[in-house]
Amino acid sequence: MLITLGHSNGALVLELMERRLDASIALAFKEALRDAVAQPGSAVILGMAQVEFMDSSGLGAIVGGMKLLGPDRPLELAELRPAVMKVFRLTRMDTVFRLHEFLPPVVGIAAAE
Amino acid sequence: MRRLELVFEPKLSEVRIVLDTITALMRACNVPDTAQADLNIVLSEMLSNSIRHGYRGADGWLGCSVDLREAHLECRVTDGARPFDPPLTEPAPDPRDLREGGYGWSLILSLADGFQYQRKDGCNELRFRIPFVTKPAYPA
Repeated sequence: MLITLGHSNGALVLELMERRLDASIALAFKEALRDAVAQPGSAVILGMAQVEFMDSSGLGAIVGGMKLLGPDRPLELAELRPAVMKVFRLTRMDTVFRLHEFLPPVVGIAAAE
Repeated sequence: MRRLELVFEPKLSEVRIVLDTITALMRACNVPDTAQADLNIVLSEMLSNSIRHGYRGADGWLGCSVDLREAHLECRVTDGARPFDPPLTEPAPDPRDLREGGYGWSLILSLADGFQYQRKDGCNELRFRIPFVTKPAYPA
C-alpha cells in the first residue's frame, strides 16, 4: 500500500500506491503509515499522485496520521489530484496541511513494503 | 436518458465496485470530471453511512440509481436499514480541531443539490442532483 521512496533534505518521502483512499482501506492505511514512519525523517512527505479518489474516512485517516506523528514532525502531502484536492478544500483541511505540487527528488531509496 | 441501477450488499468492499461501475458509465458518456468526482464523494459518504450507522454489520441491501440527464445527474440511494434523521445543514468541523471524522454530511450537503430524505415503505430514500457545472469549493 505504502512505498518508501527515500529521503529528501532529511524528510522521509512516501508514496501511497492506492487508487482510492476510502472507508474500506482507511484503517489499513493508518496502520501502514504507522509502520512506515518508524523510519527516521524530520518531516514526512506523502505522495498521492496515484490516488484518484478520497472520501471523508480517507481524510480522517490522514488527519490521524498527522496526529500520530506529533507536533514536531509534520505530515506534508504532495501531488494531490483534483478530486482529492476538492475534499481538502471543502473541509478547509488545505489550510492545515502543507501541500506540495510535486514530490521532492529523493536520495537513498530505502525499502518497499 | 440513461439510468444505471445497482443493488448490493451493505459492505464497504461493495461500495468500491459500485462506484467503479458508475464511474465507468460516466466516463463513457463524457460526464464532466468535476461531476464524476462530486458524485463519487457524495455516494461514498452516503453508502458508508448506511453500512456503518444504518446496518452496523447486519445483513441487508443497498440500492443506488443514477440518471444521466443533459446537464446534471439525478440520483437516489435506498436501503432497508433503520430510519434516521439526516441534517439539512451541517457546518464542516473547524480544521484546526484536527478531527478524524465528522466531515461526511458537510461534504454531502455542499456537493448535492436538492437533497431530500424520506422514509417510504420501511425503507430510507435519499434523493439529490449533481450539476455538471459545480460551484467553487470556496472563494480563493
